[in-house]
Amino acid sequence: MSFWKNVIKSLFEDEVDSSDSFVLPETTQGDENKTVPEDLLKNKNVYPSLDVNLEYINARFNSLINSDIKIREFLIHVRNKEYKAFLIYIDGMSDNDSINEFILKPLMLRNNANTYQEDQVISKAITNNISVRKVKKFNITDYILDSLLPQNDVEKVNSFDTISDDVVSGNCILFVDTLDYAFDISTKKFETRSISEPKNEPIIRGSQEAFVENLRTNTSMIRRNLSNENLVIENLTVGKIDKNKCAVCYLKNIANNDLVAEVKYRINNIDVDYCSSVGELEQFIKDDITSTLPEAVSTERVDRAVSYLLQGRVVIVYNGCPYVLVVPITVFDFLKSQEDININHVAANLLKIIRAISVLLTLLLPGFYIAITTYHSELLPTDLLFSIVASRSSVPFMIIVEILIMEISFEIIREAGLRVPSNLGNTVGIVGTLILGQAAVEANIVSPILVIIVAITGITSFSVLDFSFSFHLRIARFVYTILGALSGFLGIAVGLFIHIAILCSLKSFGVPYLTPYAPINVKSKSKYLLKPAWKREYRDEWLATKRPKAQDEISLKWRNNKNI
Amino acid sequence: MANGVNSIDELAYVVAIGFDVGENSDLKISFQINMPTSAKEQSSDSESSESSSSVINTVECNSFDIGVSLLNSYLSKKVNMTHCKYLIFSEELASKGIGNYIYSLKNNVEIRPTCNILISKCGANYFLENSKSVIDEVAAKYFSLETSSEKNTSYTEAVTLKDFFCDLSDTFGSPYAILGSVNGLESNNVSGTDSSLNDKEYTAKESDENNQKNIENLGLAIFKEDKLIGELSGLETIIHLILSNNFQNATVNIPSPFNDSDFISLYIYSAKSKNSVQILNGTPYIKCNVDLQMKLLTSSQSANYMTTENKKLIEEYANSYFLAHINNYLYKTSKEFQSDICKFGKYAVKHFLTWNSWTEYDWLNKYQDAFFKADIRSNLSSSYLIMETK
Amino acid sequence: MNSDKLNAIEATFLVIIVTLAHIILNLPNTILSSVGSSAIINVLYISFLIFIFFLIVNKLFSSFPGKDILDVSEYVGGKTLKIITNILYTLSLTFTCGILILDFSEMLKLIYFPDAVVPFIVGIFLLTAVIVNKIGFKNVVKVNTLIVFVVLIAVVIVFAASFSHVDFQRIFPIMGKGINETFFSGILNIYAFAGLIYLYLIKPNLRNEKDYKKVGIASIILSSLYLLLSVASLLFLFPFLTTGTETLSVYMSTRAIKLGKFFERTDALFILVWIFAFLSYLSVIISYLTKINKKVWNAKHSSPIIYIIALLTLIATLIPTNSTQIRFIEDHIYKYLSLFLVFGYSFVILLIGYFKKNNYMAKRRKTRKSIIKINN
Repeated sequence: MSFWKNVIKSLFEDEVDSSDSFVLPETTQGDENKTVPEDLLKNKNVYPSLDVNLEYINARFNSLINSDIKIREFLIHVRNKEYKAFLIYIDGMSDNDSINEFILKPLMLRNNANTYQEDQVISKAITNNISVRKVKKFNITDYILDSLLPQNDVEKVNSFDTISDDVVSGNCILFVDTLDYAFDISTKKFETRSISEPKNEPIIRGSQEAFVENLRTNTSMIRRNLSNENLVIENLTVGKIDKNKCAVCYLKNIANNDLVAEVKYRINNIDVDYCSSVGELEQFIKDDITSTLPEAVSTERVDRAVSYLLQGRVVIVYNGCPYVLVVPITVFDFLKSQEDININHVAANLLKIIRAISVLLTLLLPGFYIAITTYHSELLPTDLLFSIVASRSSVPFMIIVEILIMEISFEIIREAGLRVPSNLGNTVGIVGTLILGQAAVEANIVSPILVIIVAITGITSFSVLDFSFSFHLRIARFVYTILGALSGFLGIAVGLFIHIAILCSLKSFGVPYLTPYAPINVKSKSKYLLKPAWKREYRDEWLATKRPKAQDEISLKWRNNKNI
Repeated sequence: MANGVNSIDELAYVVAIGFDVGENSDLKISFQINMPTSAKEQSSDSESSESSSSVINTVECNSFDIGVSLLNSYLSKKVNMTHCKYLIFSEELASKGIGNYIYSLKNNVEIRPTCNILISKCGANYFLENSKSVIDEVAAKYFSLETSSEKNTSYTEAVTLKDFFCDLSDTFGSPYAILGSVNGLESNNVSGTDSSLNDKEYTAKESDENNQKNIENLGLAIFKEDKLIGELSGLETIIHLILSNNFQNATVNIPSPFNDSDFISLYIYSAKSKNSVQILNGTPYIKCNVDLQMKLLTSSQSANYMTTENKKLIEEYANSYFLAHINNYLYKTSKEFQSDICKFGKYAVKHFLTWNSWTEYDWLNKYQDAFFKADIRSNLSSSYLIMETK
Repeated sequence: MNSDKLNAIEATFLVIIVTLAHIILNLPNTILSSVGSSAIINVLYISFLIFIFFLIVNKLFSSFPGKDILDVSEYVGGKTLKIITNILYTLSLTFTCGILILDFSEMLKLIYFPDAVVPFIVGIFLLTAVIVNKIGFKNVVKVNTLIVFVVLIAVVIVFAASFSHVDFQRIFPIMGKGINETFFSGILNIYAFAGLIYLYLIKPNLRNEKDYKKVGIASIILSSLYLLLSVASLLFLFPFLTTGTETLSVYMSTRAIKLGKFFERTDALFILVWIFAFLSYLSVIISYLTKINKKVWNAKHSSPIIYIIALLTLIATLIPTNSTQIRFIEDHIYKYLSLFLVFGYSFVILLIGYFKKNNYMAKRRKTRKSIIKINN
């Protein structure tokens, strides 16, 4: 009874008013430079007071919310005196053993070095039974540097900018009370090439690093590739029983605050026992839960994730999954590859056009084939038509049955190819090709032309970079095939019309799916085709970032200087 | 929606339709249906060199649509005319009038407006049965390429159903169609040949004595309203194309000014005609200023055709040669055929303000009273590889 | 960034889809058969007149910022007149829309679906429009913007592809069927711009009210241009259109397109584009009628109104029983209905509203001046 009630309700009532749903504001907010209190900004050097230094460091590195910025406060023992001190380092980028053994231990625990109390005598003179000793004045900075830190690479620094650069590159910085210097100690240790190549997003020119399952390793890879203190990586927990960690990464001086808040709000308000992967997480935080279209890009490439961060998007890293999610997105992001940025813009645009054509082919080719051969055969050139008729003369099935046989067989072989162990993978491919191609044609089950159609459809589907998006295309293709068989171009037009309407209605974290073409924005600076690298001045305006300009108007200053 | 629809497996594609006068009915319609054979059958049959064969079915009926319906009853597949390339009317039928058939064909959804219309000097059925490509092509391709050969010769014009239909209902001019036949034939269906004709004055069927029968499209069939009243030879067709500004290129022989028994071949690659019509005392006065650009094809020992004097002489001969033929053509169409196939009417219509005054003038009947003045200016631009011989 | 309001381009395309749908069917043919070879002059003439008309309408509307014709009719004659206006608009738009869809469906049946039942084809169109409308008004607008681009390009391609067959002499005789038919009785051809009826309704939905004039002028220019192109391509291609009537005139020009040996019968591709155009046209009509009816009747949900509008459209398609009746309705009933509604009734209401408001404002100013005088 309640089922029918719901059906009638959904037929006659409007859907929930979308005005409450999340939208990105039109104007940017906030000052990009508001990371440090203004009064502290005046002084760029280390303060003598430890508390002031601590306050500065907390503000600059957002250490209260940043989960991997570690600050260890402790007491240094020098000449049986205690000085307050603290260490700052990044967990995952610094060698913990080195910090423990060679920094904390010699400074905190009593040992011969830090309990030695005698002065260093420079010269001694005895006059009238009075001995006069000239002793070196005790300098704690030199003492710590020379005697208490058995590290191979220690420097005195007093500029916060230098300190900041060194912390984000993996060093550990020691601040001591009363000293207006800090000690920059090299303790870098992070994962390198045991990380594998990206298997599902290979490119020719570019980084060959892919994400792994460990959250901290992934965040460290992002840190390494994006050396900026404004990169914030906030830890959140998903699941009541599993309590799996996920990290929300963004650039604080670029990403829109409301977007970040919305992402965190949705993740924090998932009431489930467990969330097993980032794919499942994506389905929990989508705007439109009924659509088969993905509303986030999932990538295993580190450079791609970093490039999205620099545009002002938010990257979600999930522990246990080598893919990260990027939000918000538009449908055109599924046709972009990291290769496009690494090559000349003309070549990149050619590839983008080819990908767009591939999407249309994989979606519509079988539908068009059956529509033309059933309803609109006058469209074909006469020679081609007779060749098709001749090739089909001994096939016993109708065209629609033939197509469905081939398509379903192709899907079965594709699925088998994914699941089969890699040793047998080649065999399955050969067997599949033989069965689908040669033998089926020889046995007059299918016509040769249809093998070509299905092969083109399959190959073009592999040019779609996103796995979830290609799934949607595969499902839609069957729908178009049936519509084409039922009513030719009328059916396909109806299907396309509804499909486009659905695409127009989708949003990804408040951003319309077909931006900037629907709603149309003629003045938009982000179009499908790429501009040359030196002309990509603006970030996408629909991201509403705090820093809309990514380049100066004349970014190639060296050329400009030469010309002057 | 798919109930009444047949896919390509269930259709028999007609590539040409021939219309003759029926013996027991008004019409005898012949359909040439293409029967594509698969590659496997083709490879096992070593004699066959075509990738498809065709069959010709003939029905007697009183109208075209009944004929199609009758044909459907014979065949297992439904007849489909969306790939029909040729509509062939016999001379006999065309003389009686084909207006109704043209309107019915135009009203048909399947028949393409771009298919060619041909008037056959032999019977249409005979034409279809005996037309075969010399160089072994599929019938449909053969038909479509055959008509495109006029681009290379200008001996005829590729008239389509749309053109014929427009001309039939037009007030600016009269319709015409391709004149064709099967050459080298001896049959009861055809009239005798005139062996004393100059080779450029050939019309269809008359050109040579080779035994191989193939389509020969040469000349145009002239209509007044919807009845066939005459024909133009190949050379007259070239003149017609020049005057109607549809000319592409042609090779023409003119008598040599240096030797009475010789001819000089000229390749005309551009021809523009500025036509104007004035109405003087209700009679049309038509002026044509023709501009020809030619290249010299003939070369011989000790002939220096490209010297200034010789070039001028050749041009003068060409001018008088073409002028004679143009005047002959103009008076033929006006006095003999009384049919304005050049559509001079479109130049006359600008003298009339409203449609009523134009239709009252009745240009198509006034054309027979027209008088003409033609001016030719030919320019021999160059020879080909040999400029002079010594 | 994400509001329900329309920007200038979306609004312009919303207005011109109606004219485009008419152009695809028989509008150029009707103009040609009424004025003959002076169709181009007639189109330029009526374009100029409609341009002047719009400038007057814009001036009249300037007294009612953010209001549409329904609000103006409420101001003039109270809620009763508002309801009457709403009913008039709803019934006439559903009727004309239904007839056009029926005409197009008949064409599809004729060419591709000989055994299909026409109401079934109409039902497919209506069902699609209802589904898309359920998704939301703003999405209808977005889809329409994308589709109008494609349709505009297709119209240009039709003209360009048939350019080699055109004969410019067909423009003579220059006055066609006569000066009276071209300029006096031919003025009735202004109904070709009846699609601009949306200019009476669109003002409250614009993001920026100052865009209204821009939208109006752009719609008129684009509509005139495309009407001119369609009329010109038919006039220069076919002579018989000036002497007889022809069905599906623009389809006839696509059948004549032949580019080499490969592109010989490409009319199916153009029909695909036109199906999009009609789907968009139907969706836009239903969405706009839903919007205004929801406002007038203070309805909570749009879905029942969408179903009612779709049902009314379906009923309208069942009225004619053969193509002659359809032709008669399109050439006569639709013509005079559009002239009455767009250039008669709505204009008069706007005019009365304008004068009433100006009188009221003048009186207020007078009263204020006299109060100031008394105070002084």
